[in-house]
Amino acid sequence: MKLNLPVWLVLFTSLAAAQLGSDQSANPEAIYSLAGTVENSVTGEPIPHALVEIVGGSEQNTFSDAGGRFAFDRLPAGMTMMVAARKPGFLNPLETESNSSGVSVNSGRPGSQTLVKIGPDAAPVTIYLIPEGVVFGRAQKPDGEPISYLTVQLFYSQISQGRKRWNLMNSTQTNEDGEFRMAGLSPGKYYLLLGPRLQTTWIGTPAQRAREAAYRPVFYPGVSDLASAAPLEVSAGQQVEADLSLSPDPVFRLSGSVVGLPPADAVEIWQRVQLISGTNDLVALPAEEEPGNEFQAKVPAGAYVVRANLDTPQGSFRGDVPVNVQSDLAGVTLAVAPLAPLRAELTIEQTHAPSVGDRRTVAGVNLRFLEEGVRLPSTEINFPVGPGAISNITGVDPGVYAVEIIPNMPDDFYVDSAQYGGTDLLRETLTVGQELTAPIHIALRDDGGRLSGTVVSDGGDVRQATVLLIADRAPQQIRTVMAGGNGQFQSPKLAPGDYTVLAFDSVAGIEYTSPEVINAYSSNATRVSVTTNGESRVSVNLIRTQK
Amino acid sequence: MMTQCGTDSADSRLRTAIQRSTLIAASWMLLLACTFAQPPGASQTGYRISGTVVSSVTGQPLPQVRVFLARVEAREDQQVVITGPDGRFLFDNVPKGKYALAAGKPGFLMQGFEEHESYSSAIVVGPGLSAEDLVFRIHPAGVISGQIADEQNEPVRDAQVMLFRSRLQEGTRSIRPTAQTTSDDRGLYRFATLAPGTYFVVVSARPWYAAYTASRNHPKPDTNQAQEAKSPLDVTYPIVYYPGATDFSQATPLALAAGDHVTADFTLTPVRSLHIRVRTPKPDVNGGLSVMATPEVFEGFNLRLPVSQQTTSSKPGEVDVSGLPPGQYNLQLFFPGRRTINYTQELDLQSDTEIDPGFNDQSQTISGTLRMQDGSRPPPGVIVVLKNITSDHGAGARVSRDGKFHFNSYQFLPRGTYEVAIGTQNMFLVSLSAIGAHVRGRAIEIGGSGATQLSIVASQGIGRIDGTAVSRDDAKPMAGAMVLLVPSDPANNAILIRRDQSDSDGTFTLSSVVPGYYTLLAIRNGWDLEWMNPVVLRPYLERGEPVEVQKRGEYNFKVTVQ
Repeated sequence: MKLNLPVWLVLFTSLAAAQLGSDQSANPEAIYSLAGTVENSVTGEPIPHALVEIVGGSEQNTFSDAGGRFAFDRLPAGMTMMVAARKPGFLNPLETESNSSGVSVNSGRPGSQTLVKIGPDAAPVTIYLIPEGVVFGRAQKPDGEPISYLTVQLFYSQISQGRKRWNLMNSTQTNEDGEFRMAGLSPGKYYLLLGPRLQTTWIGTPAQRAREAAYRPVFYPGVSDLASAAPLEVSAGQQVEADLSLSPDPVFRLSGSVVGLPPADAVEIWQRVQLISGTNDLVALPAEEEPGNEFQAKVPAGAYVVRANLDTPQGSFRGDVPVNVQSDLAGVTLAVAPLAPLRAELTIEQTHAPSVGDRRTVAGVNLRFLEEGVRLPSTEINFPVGPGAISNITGVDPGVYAVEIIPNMPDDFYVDSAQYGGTDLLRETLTVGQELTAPIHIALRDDGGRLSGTVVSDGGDVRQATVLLIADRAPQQIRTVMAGGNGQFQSPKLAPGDYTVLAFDSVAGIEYTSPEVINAYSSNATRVSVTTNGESRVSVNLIRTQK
Repeated sequence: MMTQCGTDSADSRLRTAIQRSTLIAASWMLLLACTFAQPPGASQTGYRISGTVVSSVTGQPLPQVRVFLARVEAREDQQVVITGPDGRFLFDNVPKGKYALAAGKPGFLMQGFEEHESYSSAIVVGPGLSAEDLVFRIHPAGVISGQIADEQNEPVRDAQVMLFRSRLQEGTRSIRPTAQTTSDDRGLYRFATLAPGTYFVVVSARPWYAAYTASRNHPKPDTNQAQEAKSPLDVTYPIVYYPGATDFSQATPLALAAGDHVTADFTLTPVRSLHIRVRTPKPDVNGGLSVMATPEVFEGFNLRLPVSQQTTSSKPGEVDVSGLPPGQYNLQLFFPGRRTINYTQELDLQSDTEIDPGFNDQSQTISGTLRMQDGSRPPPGVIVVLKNITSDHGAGARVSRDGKFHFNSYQFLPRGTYEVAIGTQNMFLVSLSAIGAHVRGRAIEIGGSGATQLSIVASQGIGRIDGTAVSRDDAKPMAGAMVLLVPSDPANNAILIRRDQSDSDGTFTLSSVVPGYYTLLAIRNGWDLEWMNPVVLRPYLERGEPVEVQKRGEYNFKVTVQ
């Protein structure tokens, strides 16, 4: 008996929901075949010699032919299998999701992976591969001479977990002809930074002695700060040319010594002295370190901060000294002082017996330190803190940070307070200095309330949604909860208090940690109160961000 | 008869970038002869060094060339001028002394004046010695580039491309790696800033679709069965020597003249990847075993970087190394544990193979004692150095205060001949004996496995020879001659040989001379000679001067140039 099975293709951009397996309703004895083509997602042209793999129970692979066609025989009936294709010059499916820059990932187009149900009526499959983008160019002096060995970096910004982060896409160096090339790029907007260059160059006219010179780091099209820079817009399959002309500036010699260290003896000291430019503090120029704690550097004129970061067995040291270089400058004294670590301490206030669960997990928090301001690339330090002894948090240099405090057992505990001196980290940023201070004090409580609810939409069913829970008392600590297929969601344990609740079909590309962005959606927000040990219910309107 | 002013040794092959080296005289006898009658170029406060930079190929003056001048004994303190459209440069107010002169610009090699290998001619200025109207020939840089395509005629990206050079270095001709790069997304690679010479291009890559899984069946070493059962993705590219050979004896050299742009394209064809299955010492543990299979790329030279290979474990007790093309390999196995176990084996891999090393710690260990000839304790910081005479690979071991040294088991010391030296200033080897290795002069031959014990007697007090190379015809100082100090039995004591190039005033310096008996000689056009070949050297040795160098001795000799 032939079953009239409906043929359906499920289009996926994430692997999470795939359920590969066999379906008992098809004829188990029969074997079937599957045919298809691999195509360029931009031009629609067939892609020859792509590797096509089919997975699900068994595994087979083949290459597409000159017309982009492929076929698999001997596939067991009733299996739901995943068909994927790849080839150099085309992006890996996972890469296409990572560089959003506002590009929606749920575009409705099939991607380079497709789920197929094998059966007698399985229609031919089309797999689309996204061609890579390329940025290439040449760096030269105004007279046309190439600049070799110049560092080239490509950065892009991305909204990740509601925050704008800067990532390094690729880096390289110009060759002897001043040329550079970076391939394998996902579509997006990129900022190109050229420099620094370790080797100095020489400038001058024949009648006099030449002067040593260096290139200041610049952003395309030739500016010193990121705010004035123009991004390169790379679309799928596009090759973008970015040429720059750079003029070297005469350098002056800066030299000095680091003072304030404990006696060295034969002890290993890891030392790093850098010059951070006043105009472009995104690039640090290394200084040459010499014996006896001396350092020197050759830099163009300007205002700099000379910074030393040292780790010794006696602890970490750090110091800054501002300098204004307008001529050779010797005898700069860089005084360092011990760098006291940032510390944290966690207490747990338990009001009732713990829920039955995995007793091996110890309650604690994960601290996530995100440096404020633009850093290329953005850095993030994650540090788990458990109850009991004070923890020394390593890696958090003096600076200003947003801190996220996330309980590792959210179904039991919520963060009741997080104080650093007089600063409430639930609402304010953390300023880390060099001196020893009282530790960050975090308190967890277990008497939180739960919030459950439904995301509703007048536009139809809610398949999937992301719900943001913003507590009035902790606007920096936004919780996200996923709503399921029927719009239902349930929060972990929340601190009692008032909340603003927002539901989005997708938060990709939404900078929801920014108050201005949240305010823009206030007409769609719902207010709700969470009570101690209570259960609250709420209904939230779905905000659609996809077209 | 005077030879012409301004000619250079056109038949010499100028090498690439300057290294720190002793500077020796150049063929400035000619220029001196020209300027001798003129008033010396001395201004009130100093001397002048001037000239024109020209292309060695066209002879045309070159603008925008950076010309560097530094005292020989203070190389970091340099002065720089940039040539104008007429290619001229001028340094004035130069105090008397010996100076290193170098020049270069993008598209041309950075080189020293009259450079040969790592030697160059210093410019000497002083009373009666000026250096004006020099002609500084620099070579345009050569380029070797090409495209790498696969069997589908599509570009191969991320292929490892290596450039080897056949050169006459230290008197012997050998093929050594000189640069390395990877192909880009278009399959293109490029080597620029190349000196004239003879080159080989070698490519090592893996197909982008290659996938290796541990072979499930035990391979039968001598059969080719079960090839069909293997996945079509279990392939690799052989190591290819331009234009397409898979054996280095069939490699075609590329001759690059100054400024040449040579294209060397490759098409890669996949071959079945070979598997080596290795049994690990503990049947229930296979973690931590690392395998390094380094193919032999040219005679006696193993590529230090592992060929694209993959190591997987199909089950405990064995490790599968796959992705290997056929060839001669040096196989090294490391199994770290309480005692790091090394195992080395030469392997001619032509089909799937199983290795059961037994792991009876066959690693090559080298240790020994060093004592001072006068019975005193060795000074602190003494290092014993072993240098492989074929690959130039070296390893060092620190000597403890009680004279013991031990080479780390992780140092790569395959079978071969190694020169033994003391890598410390002012110290030299007096005698060497060994158990577990064959001693030849100041070199040892090791087998690549087993324990070797060395006994070294050392002493302090190296010597120094200064001198002047003079012409045979008129006994006047001659610049640009190759001066050689040769010990008895040079083949086994190559490490004692000292060399220099005479400066513009004919002077030369040979430093760090180990006390002993030598022959001192000077050859006018010695730079093209394979002087390490005893047959080539013998006639020169016969006309050289025997000298004895004692501890801390300082000497001054006049040598007649042959």
